[in-house]
Amino acid sequence: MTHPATQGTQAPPGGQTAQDDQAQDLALELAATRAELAELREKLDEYEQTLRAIRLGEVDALLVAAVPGQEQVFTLSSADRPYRNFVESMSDGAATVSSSGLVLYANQALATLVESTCRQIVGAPLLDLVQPSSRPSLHRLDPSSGPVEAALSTTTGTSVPVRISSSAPFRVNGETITCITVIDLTGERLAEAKLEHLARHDALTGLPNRTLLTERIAAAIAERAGTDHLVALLFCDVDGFKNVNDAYGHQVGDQTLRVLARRLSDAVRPGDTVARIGGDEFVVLCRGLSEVQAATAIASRIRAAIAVPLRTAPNPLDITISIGIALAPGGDPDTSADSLLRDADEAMYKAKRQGPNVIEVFDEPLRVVAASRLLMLTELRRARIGGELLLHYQPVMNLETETSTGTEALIRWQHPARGLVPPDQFIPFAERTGLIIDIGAWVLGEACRQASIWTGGIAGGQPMEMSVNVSGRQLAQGAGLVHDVRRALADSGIDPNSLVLEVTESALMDDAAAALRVVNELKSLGVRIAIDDFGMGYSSLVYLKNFPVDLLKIDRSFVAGLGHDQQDSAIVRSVIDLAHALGIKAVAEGIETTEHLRILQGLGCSYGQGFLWSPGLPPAKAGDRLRLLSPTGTGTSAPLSRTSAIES
Amino acid sequence: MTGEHDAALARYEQQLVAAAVAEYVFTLFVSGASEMSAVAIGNARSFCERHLAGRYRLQVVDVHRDLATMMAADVLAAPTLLREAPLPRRKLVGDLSDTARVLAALNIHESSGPIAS
Repeated sequence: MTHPATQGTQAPPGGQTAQDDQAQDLALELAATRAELAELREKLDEYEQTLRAIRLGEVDALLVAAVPGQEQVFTLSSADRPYRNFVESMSDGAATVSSSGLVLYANQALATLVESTCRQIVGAPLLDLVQPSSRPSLHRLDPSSGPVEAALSTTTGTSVPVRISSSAPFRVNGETITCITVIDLTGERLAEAKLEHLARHDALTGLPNRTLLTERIAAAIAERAGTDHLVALLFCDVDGFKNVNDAYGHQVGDQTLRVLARRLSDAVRPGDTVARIGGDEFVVLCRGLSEVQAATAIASRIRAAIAVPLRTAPNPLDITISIGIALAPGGDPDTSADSLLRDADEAMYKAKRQGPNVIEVFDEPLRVVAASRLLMLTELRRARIGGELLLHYQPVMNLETETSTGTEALIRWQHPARGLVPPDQFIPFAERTGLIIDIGAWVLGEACRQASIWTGGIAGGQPMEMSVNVSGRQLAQGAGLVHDVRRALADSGIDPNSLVLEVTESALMDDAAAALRVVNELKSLGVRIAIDDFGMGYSSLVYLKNFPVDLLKIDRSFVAGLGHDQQDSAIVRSVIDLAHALGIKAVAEGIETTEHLRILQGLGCSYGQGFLWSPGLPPAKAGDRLRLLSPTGTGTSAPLSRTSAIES
Repeated sequence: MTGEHDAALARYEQQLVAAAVAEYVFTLFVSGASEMSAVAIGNARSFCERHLAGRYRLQVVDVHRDLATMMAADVLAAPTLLREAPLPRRKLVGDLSDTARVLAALNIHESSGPIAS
């Protein structure tokens, strides 16, 4: 019996073979694929291995096919060449250093820095290139902590300041290598030194400036030096130096200062410091003096050296110098550089007051003056802020109609202990210290405010003229003054033409060109300009013509002599004539008697002020007085008796 | 038969003999007379002498002079050490300074033959 199933599954021999073939093909295909895969995997391994070797720097040639079929071998040292060229041509030094600190490679710049050759450096310890003192800093060389500064040691024995930075160490051929770059700091250090020098020296003369002088004074005072222990400061101020600048220009002025600086330096002892601390102010610091006479001897030598006429100007210049000397014993804890300098300055001012070419030694009374001035400075600051400064007002009269046209604002200081302090006791001081700038601005604002009140209240809308004194220091401030005036006008709303700014002749002539600019600017605001105390300073009629001046004020000292002093009368007459010639009006100050009034009226003087009508009065009283004196006033314009005119 | 054929045959036979004698046949591909080439040749010689003394043959190919051999052997970089025998061929890229890695990669055992891989 046949097994149907067996029979059924019995495939013909041919079919059997076909199936086997198919399986065999598949197996072969699989094997081939497997082999291919293995080969690919092997290739991949190889590529990875190659890449790894490249990364480790264990390969120096590669097969490269930039264009398929055109393979070529590319040596890595030639691939390196651009970088090598780059490093070679760097202006900064570069080197590679082994883990044991030997230089493996150095570029030309590094060799040049140490004045050596690459051949000599390579193979030597890096530390050999470095000054012993900065070797420890090289041990701190670490890319994470940033560059270190060190000094290289050249083959000629000089030292070169450098900044060294390093790369993270990496391994090449089993060796750990660090790359370093070395930047030359010589230029940077020179620039720093130059800056440092500039900060402590005067650019014009090359002498130490105030900063360096103060340091040296402090050092000299701190020193204790046996018996010859006196420290002296000679504060030298050229007399009338402004005249040199005015007459010949700043170039000659500067050249003159340079020559003076050299003469001063030659006149003092070696080791003394000559400093320039201001325009024409020089200070000499002397140490190791045994007595005051030693300091005055040096001052005399300086004076003699300066006395030789200078040839810096078209005509020989005769220059004199005022010298103030202050001394302190070395090691004196009570003396500071500032106080000694202040004492010498004080002595110099005293010398100036005694005429040109004077030497003055600071002494105890001067110290008292200096101390009281320091106190004054503090008090005056407080006065300004604390409202102790007041304005009084003195009516200004039209001499023809004998009615008031306005007032002049006069400053007073209501001192809590000393009472009313007159302006001549604090205004010069305020000028010297610069406090006048602040005070002056306040005066302008306050006077204009008062004028606006009176314009409405007394003059019935008619402008009430207000005269305000402006100091030389304010004028020299230029734009600041213009700003202050503009603000005072804007805040008060008064007619600019009713504001008269009184400037002294000497303030105008101090720096005539600058003053003219400021005055013109002030004029453009609409205010009027009066020259105060005319005839007191040196009259510069030539300059005066250039100034757009509206009024000349005749000083009270000339008015006082009217009627009995021939000379004074002549001066007053000539000032009024001058005013007429210039087409402007004259104002006489200090009119005390009807005789003064008659004479001035006779001379054609337009305006005047004085005790004949009123002293300076506080605002309320001045207002009352103005009401009496004004053209629309209800009272008579009868002059006051002299006894009621109490003003210091 | 020409003399050229004789010479070729002689070379072939020589190679067969060498192959029969040398258990290990290496070709070291290097890049000219560079420092790294010198290092690689030195390393290859010393490890062969130490581990395979008398059982190896090492030939050195300069890839700059024999680009064809390099390409035929599928070598991509120099230095590369190619183990031609025993099969399968194996490659090791680098300067061969790490002996342990060389031994592992080439599957060399000091006294016995290679373990089939």
